[in-house]
Amino acid sequence: MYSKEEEMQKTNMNRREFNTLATSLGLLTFGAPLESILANENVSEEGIKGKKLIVLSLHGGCDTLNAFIPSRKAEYNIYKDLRTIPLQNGEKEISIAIALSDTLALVGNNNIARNNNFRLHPKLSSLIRIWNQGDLAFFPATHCISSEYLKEGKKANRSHFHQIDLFERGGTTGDNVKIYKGWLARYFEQQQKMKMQTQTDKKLLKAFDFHGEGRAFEGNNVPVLALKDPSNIKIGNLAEVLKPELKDKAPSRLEASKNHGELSFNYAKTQDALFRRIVKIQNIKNLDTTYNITKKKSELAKQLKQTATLLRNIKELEIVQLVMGGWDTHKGQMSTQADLFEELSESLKIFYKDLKSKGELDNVVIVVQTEFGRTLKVNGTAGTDHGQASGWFVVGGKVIGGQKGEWKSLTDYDDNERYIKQKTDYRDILGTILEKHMGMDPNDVKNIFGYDEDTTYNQMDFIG
Amino acid sequence: MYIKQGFLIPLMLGSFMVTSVYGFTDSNTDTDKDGISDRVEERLGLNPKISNLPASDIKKKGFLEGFVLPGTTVQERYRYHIMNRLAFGANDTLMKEIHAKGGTKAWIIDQLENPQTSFEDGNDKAQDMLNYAIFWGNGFGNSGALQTFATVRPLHSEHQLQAVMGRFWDNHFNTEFKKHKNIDSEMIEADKFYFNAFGSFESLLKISAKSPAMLQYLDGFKSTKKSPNENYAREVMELHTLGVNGGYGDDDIVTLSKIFTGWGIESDSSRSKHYDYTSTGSKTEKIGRKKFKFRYGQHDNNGSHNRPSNRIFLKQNFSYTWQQEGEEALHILATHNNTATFICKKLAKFFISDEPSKETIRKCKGTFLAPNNIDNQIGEVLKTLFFNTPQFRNKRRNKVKDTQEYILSVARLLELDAMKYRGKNQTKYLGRELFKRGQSFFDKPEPTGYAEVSTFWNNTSVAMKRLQFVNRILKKNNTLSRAYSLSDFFKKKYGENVTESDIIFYLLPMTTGGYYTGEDVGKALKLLNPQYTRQGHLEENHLRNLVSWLVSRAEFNVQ
Repeated sequence: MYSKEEEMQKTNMNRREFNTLATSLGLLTFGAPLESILANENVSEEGIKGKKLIVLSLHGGCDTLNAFIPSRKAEYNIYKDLRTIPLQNGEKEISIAIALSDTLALVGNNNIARNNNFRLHPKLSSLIRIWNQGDLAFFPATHCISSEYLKEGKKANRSHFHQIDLFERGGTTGDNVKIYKGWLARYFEQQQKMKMQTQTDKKLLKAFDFHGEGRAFEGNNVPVLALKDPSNIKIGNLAEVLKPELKDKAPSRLEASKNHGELSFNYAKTQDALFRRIVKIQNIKNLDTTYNITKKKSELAKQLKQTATLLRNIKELEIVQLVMGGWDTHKGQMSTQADLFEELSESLKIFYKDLKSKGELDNVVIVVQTEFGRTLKVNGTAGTDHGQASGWFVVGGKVIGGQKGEWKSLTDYDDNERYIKQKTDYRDILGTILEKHMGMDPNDVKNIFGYDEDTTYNQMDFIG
Repeated sequence: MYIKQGFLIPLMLGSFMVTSVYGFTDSNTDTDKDGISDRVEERLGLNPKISNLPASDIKKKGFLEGFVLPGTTVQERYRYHIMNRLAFGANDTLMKEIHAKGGTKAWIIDQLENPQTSFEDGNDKAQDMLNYAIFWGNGFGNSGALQTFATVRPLHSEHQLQAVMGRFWDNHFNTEFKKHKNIDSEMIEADKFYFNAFGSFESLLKISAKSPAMLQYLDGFKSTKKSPNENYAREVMELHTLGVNGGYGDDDIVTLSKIFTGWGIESDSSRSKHYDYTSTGSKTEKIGRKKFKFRYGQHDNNGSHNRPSNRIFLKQNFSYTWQQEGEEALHILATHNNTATFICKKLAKFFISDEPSKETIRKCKGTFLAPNNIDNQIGEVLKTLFFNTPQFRNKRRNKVKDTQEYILSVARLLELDAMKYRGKNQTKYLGRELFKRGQSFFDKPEPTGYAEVSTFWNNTSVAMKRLQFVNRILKKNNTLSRAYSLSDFFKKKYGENVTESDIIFYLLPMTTGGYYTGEDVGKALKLLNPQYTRQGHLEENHLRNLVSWLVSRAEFNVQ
């Protein structure tokens, strides 16, 4: 299956892994089920220390034009027209326009000036408090088209899967070179290079992924643990059965799995990473939690609560990835979106208040993104179809609040009245966070996002 | 000094006795250096002086003589490969079926050329089970039982390859049950994909396009002349036929969404003994059967009443109007060059590896587009894939099973009965496990369906859920365990005097596809009989430990 040389390389790599594994497992005792066997890590909640990044993706393509609603009079009228199909031939009017009287003003206070361009969807009321604290920055027309393509008037693909994949790889529309690794995997790669590390500590847990799918962490030796629910990690008696494997022969297990080819070896490595990294979370208390929002259990609120707990207990943890689905509102958008907005903003509020009260908010930045915005016009089924740019926003203690991305007017975006045109390159938002919040060198940021030589990365002014 | 020695001697003896009772650590002598200690070899009735190795190693390492470990020859390994890729996992029953057909190639050809094409066709155990369940009103009338419905064929059908492809198409044309909550719609659709699994791609595409499940899932039934909805028009090109960047533009999406306006649904009041669930469905889930209905009043005919529509779609003109125009659009899509590439690539990824060679895809495409292959188009493409591409034979053990494949292969290994073993809420056991481990049938919200590439199934989240599944299914005193005995399973196979050797050399090749080592043999015996008690004394718990270990390993997670 492999050439002799490849075979040799793999064996060498295995030996190295052998040693790390043997050392790490040597620290453990094996007298109880796995979840307690491996739990020799001391757990002490110390508060959130060091800089952290939380990436929250709204999958399905969020219609952010109904989140941040253009509110200047002329603008609002255009918005209302676009979002309404008037009564005709006795058939009902179709409208997804939010009544101006229902929208919430971004009033501002000492911390931040009033924003007159946009008002908020009523179900996003919890974001007002964050806005007024000056801890929310938003970018009304964000997307992924490279500047060269943008100049030529080219558009991004409007497929969910293509776009999600592209954002997870940190790419742009018009990339000539396919970037195979995930952008968060490349973040750790750059970090390792910076520290001149050739081999990562196999026990390190620097990223936690609630999504467990996708490509953002796809790469080699990424210190990530993916679990849908970190409070559900019991494997009971099976731990006893696997114990001898882990204890005596774990390295040779990896070696032996190679008999079955690369994939078996990779899967064995995954299991191995699971056993090693789970050590970090096993003894953490208060991970099992529930929240009800709009009368339903909220997965997002629960995961954000778990995120805070994980960040407080695992010092080295830097990045958490979350995904909230259901935003593909082709029909019946009003009610679906209202529930989603309420869950999103309430969940963020709970998280925000918790961190703020403990003085931890300065260490955290949350970026809320989506794979595309939606069509300006309402469709015949009271929904919207796939579009182009969308509104992204960022929350954090060190965030300089306000509208940070450019926006002209809805008429400016009249692309056959279909899409919002891109004004902010998403890489500038993420890049700024990596540089100014996570402390990364701007050149490394460029490497992560695959900028070509001629393109400059524009640092933005939203992190103090 | 003397006192110390006096203490040491009994201590050493003691430790010797302890280890000899609890394991094999004291007897690591391996005369023939094959990785299996002499003591284990004696125990298993092997000759400690002659190497016991996989067939390939005997050749490679230049051993002059040796005993070939069971299930490790080239032919046997290929047979396991077939059972893992073209069926839902290896077991005794399937081994015997392949043998009875005269070998792997004959079995594959038989599978492809003699599929089950209707409910009445053939004599299939799975169909009998489905009929029985429905006849006795013990059917699939709630969403939990719907999962059981989907596991019957994978676990019990003799048409294994057809069941594999049935699942492939149902996933390719994914619909989510929650969106319409109509049990019949999902079952009818799944059955149609199964019956047409090797047929023409166009017929499969049309099953999907007119399926009430799809029409509701992607909002097509609400798409009207006044307000066309683009959802289905986009996904049918991106995900079902041409593929992303498959040569269509925004205009094509808009045009196609207009062509499909009026493709709606209506109630189906006809009786069907196969989908008559009104008596079995719970009140909340009794919705009634639906069928396709073309609604003239809602269709945008572009002003062409009896003439061909003058629309242009994918740079082509139409010969028809009304519903026929939509059928024509599906024909254009089904026979498009980019569709051939997209479908062949997906099939190759599914059956061969994440990155199939260009040569493989080129060959399959040739078959896909050949004009004489219309009625058994997919069957012919599969023949090309299995027999004319060296990659299929060579790329073994290099796909990570998805979670359905994983759970179903465990169930097949243990020869579990899909219809038995109920948990709480009367949902059959395996159905609930599929749900809890994150891959239940008809449950993927995104129209992509579940991923067919390995990278998606190789992460710690998946690994954790699979370990939890194994623990759950094989631990003491759970629903399944109480009604199931591994000891009985082996006694039924080998008689009351079943030996450790019988069990180990049955399970090891089955779970590793014939790729196991001498070391594995030693470990297996240690789990099966850690106390080294007398032969023939089968401890249910030890058997469970052995199986748990084998199915938890990476080797069993790949196919």
